[in-house]
Amino acid sequence: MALRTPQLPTTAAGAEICLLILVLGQRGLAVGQLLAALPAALELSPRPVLDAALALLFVLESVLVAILTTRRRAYDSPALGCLDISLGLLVLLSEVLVVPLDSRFTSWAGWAYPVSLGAAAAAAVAFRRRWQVLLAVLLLSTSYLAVTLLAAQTQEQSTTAITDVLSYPAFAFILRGVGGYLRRLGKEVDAANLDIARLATAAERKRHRLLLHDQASVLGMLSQPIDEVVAGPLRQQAALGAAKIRWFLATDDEHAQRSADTRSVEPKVTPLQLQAYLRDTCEGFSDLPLVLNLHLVLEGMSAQLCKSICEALTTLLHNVRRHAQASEVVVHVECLDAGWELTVHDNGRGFDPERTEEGYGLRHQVRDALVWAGAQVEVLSNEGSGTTVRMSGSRPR
Amino acid sequence: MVDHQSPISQLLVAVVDDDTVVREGLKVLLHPEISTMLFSSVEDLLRIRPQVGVVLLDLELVGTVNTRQVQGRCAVEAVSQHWPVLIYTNERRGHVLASCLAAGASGVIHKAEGIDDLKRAVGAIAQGQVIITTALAGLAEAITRLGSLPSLSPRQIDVLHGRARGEPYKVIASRMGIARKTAEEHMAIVSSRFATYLRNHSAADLERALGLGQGDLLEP
Repeated sequence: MALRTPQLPTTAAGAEICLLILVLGQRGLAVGQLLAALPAALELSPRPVLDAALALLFVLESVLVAILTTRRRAYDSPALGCLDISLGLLVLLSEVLVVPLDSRFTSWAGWAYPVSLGAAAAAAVAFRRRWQVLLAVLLLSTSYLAVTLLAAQTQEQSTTAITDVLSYPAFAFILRGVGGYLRRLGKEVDAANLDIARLATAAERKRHRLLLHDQASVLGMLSQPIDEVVAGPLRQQAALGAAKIRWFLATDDEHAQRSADTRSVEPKVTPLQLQAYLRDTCEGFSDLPLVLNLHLVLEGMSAQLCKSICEALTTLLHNVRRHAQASEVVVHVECLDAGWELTVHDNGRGFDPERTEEGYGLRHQVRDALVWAGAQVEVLSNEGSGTTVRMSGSRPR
Repeated sequence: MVDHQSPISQLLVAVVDDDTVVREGLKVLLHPEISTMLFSSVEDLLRIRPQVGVVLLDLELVGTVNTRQVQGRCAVEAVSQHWPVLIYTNERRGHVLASCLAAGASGVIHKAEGIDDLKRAVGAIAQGQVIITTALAGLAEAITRLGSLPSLSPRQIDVLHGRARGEPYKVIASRMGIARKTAEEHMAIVSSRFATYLRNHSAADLERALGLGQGDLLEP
């Protein structure tokens, strides 16, 4: 049975785990090296019992820190950082008692230096404020210099002490830089994921609304007493709408996306095909007193644009049916070299565009649906004087 | 026989419609400006041959008896030889209406239009004008755009452009900064030239001009 990597709750959590691995890894290495060098160090130590006790304290503290931070899945506790710094300072300053002078430079008998470097690295990760890290580095550096520089008997030992002390700010700086970047990256990725999830929810809701808007109009009309002349086309549209909703319910997102992708690479629609699609669209509105002027459809267009235009036309005719009470509805389409234009004019009751907010259909299923094609949509209406909706654009090549 | 200069107030119109309600209704609604004589069939009209200024003709004349009556394009051809014909119909298909114009009709108006519009159309026909519907305006626009109609002025084309899209004359006139009557006059000229074009060209010519297949546009 393969081991499954547990899923990270967030990217920020993953960043913390990366930093924890770095700190504990370095700590584990220090513990391992200490245990390997301890027998030799104790032989040289003037106070071997104290030296051993300090080593044991360091190991136990390391285990405690490892357990606590592993449970927490992060090394972000200032309290633990203070613990590490305190222990680092303790073992550093204890060198004056447990490490002979000549063993304080480049020897694991003076094991306080390498383990206190780990404390500087840990401080850079645990403390969130820069001044806290600087203070920790300063304390460790000062303690180290106090123990070594003051005890240096040769120029070489002084140089060693000075060069070694630079490792404290270097470790802190590197870990601080990497840690800061990883944390910021984690935060931004999590924020982006949240935005994506929000957008996906909104897009899903929009899909639902687009699917249901026109069907709601049809259902609303069918629920009222209607003339048989209107009932026929309405029932046809209701049947088509039911099929669309069934397909939507039965299809998963991946299949829907594959279908959409397939549709987007369909070949160009010829002028005659475009006329046929437009007539088919109007077929569902045979209850309306429609006049189709399609004689100026003389050029083709992309299948995607044709689909968008026909869907927009459907929405407009739904609106006419619901609101206009017109005695004539003219659908005029031209598609020429320069571009295309579709106009729907009804001589119905009109409305005041200044006082009436655009409905969902006009706003989303007409304007927004044609934004990708760079189309313009113009609505002209006056109360009592009918409504004209004009859509126009260039033909994408 | 026909006084084309008759003002509307003295106009006598023959109404040919097999629907009794329509015939009797028009008699009342057109009164008093227009006097009417009512006929249920073209055959009756041709038998009596009244002295009328305009014939208001329905395209679909089925009647109540189970006999074949003259209707459609054939009715237009028969009646237009004697009187100006204004088609009064629910038909909206451009090719059918173009066929009627080609057959000799002077105009087309929909039954959905208001009574005032009908009276105006009757008066215009009586004065020798041509009245066309939005569907026919669309066809005329296409013919014009393809260069087959004798050249129209930019204003006439502009008015035709609006009418093909269903815009009322008030809106067209407002957009062009002209009077409504002027817009109507422009359209009258366009309509007249379009009707002449239809009468002087065959169905095949029109289909060729619009890039259509044989039989797509005008029915025989």
